[in-house]
Amino acid sequence: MKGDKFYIFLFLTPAFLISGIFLYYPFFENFKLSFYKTDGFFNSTFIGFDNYIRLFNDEIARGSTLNSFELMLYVAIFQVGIALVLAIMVNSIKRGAAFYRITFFFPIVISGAAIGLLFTLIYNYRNGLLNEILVNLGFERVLWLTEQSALYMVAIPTIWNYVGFYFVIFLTAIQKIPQDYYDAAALEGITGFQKMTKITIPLILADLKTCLVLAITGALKIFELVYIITKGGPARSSEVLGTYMYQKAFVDSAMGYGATLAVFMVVIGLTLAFITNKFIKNDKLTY
Amino acid sequence: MKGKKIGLVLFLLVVSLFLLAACSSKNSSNEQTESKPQATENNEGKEKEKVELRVVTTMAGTDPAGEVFQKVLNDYMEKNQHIKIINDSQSADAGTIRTKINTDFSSNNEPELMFFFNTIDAEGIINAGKVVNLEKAEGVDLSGYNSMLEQQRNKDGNIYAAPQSGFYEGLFVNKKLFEEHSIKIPTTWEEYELAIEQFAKTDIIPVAASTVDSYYVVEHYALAAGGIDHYSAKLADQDSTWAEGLDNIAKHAKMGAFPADAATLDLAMVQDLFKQEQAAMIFEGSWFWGQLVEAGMAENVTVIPMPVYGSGGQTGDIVGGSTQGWFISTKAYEDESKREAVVDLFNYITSEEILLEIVAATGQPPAKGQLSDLPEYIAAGHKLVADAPAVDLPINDRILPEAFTYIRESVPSIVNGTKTGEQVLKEAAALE
Amino acid sequence: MVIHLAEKGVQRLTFWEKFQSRYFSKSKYGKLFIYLCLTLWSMTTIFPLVWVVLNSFKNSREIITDTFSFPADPTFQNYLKAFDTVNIGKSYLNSLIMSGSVVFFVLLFGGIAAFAMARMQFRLRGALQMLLIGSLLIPAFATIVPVYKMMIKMDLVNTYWALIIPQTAGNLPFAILVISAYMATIPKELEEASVMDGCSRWKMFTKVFLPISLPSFATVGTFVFLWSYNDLFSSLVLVSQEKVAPIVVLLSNVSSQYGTDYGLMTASIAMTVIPVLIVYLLAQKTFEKGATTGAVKG
Repeated sequence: MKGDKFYIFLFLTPAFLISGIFLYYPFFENFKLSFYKTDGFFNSTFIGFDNYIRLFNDEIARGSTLNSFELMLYVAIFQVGIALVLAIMVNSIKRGAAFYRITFFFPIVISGAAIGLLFTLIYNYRNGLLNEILVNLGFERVLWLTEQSALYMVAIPTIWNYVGFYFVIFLTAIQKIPQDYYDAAALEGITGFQKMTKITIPLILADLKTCLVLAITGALKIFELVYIITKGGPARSSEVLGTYMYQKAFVDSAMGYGATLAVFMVVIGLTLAFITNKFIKNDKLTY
Repeated sequence: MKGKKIGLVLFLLVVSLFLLAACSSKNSSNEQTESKPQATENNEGKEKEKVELRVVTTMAGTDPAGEVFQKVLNDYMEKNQHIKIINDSQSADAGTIRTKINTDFSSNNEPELMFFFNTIDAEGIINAGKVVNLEKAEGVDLSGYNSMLEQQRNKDGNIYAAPQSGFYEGLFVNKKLFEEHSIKIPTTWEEYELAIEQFAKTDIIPVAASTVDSYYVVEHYALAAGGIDHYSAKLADQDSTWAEGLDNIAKHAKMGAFPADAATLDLAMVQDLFKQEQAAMIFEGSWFWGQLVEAGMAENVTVIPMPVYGSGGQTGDIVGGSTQGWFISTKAYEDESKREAVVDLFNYITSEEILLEIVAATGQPPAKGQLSDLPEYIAAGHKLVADAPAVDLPINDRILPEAFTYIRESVPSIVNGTKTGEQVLKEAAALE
Repeated sequence: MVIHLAEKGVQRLTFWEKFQSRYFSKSKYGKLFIYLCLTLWSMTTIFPLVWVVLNSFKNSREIITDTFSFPADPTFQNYLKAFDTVNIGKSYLNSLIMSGSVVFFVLLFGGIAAFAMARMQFRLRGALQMLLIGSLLIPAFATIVPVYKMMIKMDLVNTYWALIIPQTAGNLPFAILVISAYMATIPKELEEASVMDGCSRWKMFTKVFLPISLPSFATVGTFVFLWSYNDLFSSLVLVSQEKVAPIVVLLSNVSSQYGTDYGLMTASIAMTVIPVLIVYLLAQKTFEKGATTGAVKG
């Protein structure tokens, strides 16, 4: 369209200006820190690529990365999947839809600290809910957080906690599909499952892709629940990049190495998002 | 159409400038506040110059000292109408205070007075000359302190922080549970191991401990294995008794000394096991008494020193000291308009009367004078410190934080047998 | 296009699809199954809120010992203590002002940027998209120190702007991505029709795309509000003084070296959750409106 250049510039400038100054510039500072051995304040020594060399030889970082990938896989499949199914279900009913829309949102509203405490109290060996039930039924107590199980045990609350988030986004997207499309389809005999695969999903593909990207990037940043529920343990078996980075930067005051981990997170996230983008073809979908 | 375009540009420009310009407008308002003292100078004779002091401490939140401290500041402002104090305190648990204070000091935004950790956390600030040497500072009164003042002396020979209170760590034992199971409260290492063995047979957890947040456990096991001489070693020495201590933790874990889920428990959950009388012993610090009183079980509890079997010391040596103190920032001290006020406030807060008033809220051993009317159990703790042949700081206040975290978080790996104490120490020392 | 698909679909109904339509979508049991699933899930989501509210009437000790039972001896102590130690009213107001402003700026700047990203063609589009995705990955831990230093330089620390500006910057990428995904699938005919009517791009945005995308704005607004409101970490660093402190900062002070006061913690969670639920309910209204306008126009 004529004059578009002007509008593109006008519409994009404020957002990218603000993000540029208060998000990209600080991150650039963080990037610079990754070349220093530093507490971030008074003691700084330029060490070139040493932090990156350390990163590639760091066993804990390697384990955390693998754990993060595993969590990411669960999150992308189950969090987004469950949310999509729930959204389609809620969209298909008339009575009670508002009730589910509100209640599904509850876990997001409650802070991570509280959800973390809740699950700590569920898994706790001595007095936890699960073991109380077992003891009452006459069974032995079970150690829920072991080196083998800990990652799954934190994946459950992590997935559950944010299903409502994707649910709301999907529901918003589905509801923009005009009813006459379904009506037309119904005339042609398309109902139920077909309605979902042939109309609903193709028409919200852009939103689905965005959700996948959000899930992948979100999974890399997972921190709070893991930190509270397992402390990354037992014996670092559930350590993820988010917890490791927090530990380095804030518990250990090793800002330089923490910054390196942050850069690393952004790099893998971008690579994965790029792959996702290629994977789901970006056909300009309109009605 | 063109007019609308321009109108639109103007609108967006105004809104985005509004955001960014908020900055510059604040800048000028700042200059105004800075020039205020000059303006009030006209009223000289009648009033003293108005001074604004920012004080940062960790006494906030439900820290019992927080309320008392605010009251102390209010009293002071009442007496000194020309001084306005901004209390910028934040609980140390929030985890942001170290970052905040270090950023403040490195960005020329330091508070006038602060109550902060005089440990490795303040090293950068001290080395950069951002806080004053209190012994050389004019008008600063450092009289009346007990040995806690000497503990603040920096490697360079100067004192930058004036202490308020101290703390000690030790083995808290539930006397009632020991009596009920006819087990002897341990005074030697053998008795300690025996107590573990005997409690392990019962439903009671012998020692409430986390092996991941294993601060106190690591310290006390190192102390037991080497005595205070080895305990005070540097990490670089890779002292073999530290490694022995770490291996002892694994040995006791196999005996059932700790909770089954010790590798994922946080300190609050650990404390809770003790408070619910599900565990007989716990390694904790003197601040723990507050919780025990609240739980209504302080009378049943006593604190004992870690039994030492190593050759470098004796039972009775304890981990403790005084790691927090009052600092005056160099910037405030060198500012003619503020020096008098900040020194006066410093002297007021560290005077024996006020110091005791603040410390009384916590029951910790004070750095000046004596607390009176102490409950028996707290007095016993203070006696523990007074009788100790030797006291040294916790390990994590002495060594590189990264290295200590590495040791602490590796304990579960030692327990499950994938690493040895020696190996962990070596790896930790490599981080320094 | 749909009709076309539909024709094909009818011809190729598989056994599974026939099974589907017979037993799920058309039959009573299908509906019942759907309601069963939804209700089961909603039970898991209602549970924590009930847990928080019930526990807020217990003392700290009972929360750990009897966390999953009704309070034996309900106490208002936690709420009284919270009201007593902190100036709740003022901090609610602070939260509202700051998070409200963040939502406003994010939706304003993010909305127009999303429109440009979704409906206009330009060379850097792909690169900007990647930049936006990249910015989702930047952890707040990594930027807080430089941001704090900038705020000190601009003398904004402990003013509302200290939190509003970085949070706006941090949430813009999310807003642009989600809103532009929504706008991307709005029928092309609408765009063409408005061009015929002689609309400028700005008018096209305000008259066509904004109203249709309102549900998306509401969704994004809700989440941005939520994140801004719950962002304890940035708030502790940038706006910790009482005159500007948001509610989460004041209530976070419940923990100290004497251990965490879980009673006070659950009470404060109950108190922080209420405004967010109100915001969500208000946004829900917009959902319904947006949905109907969409249907009418489509």
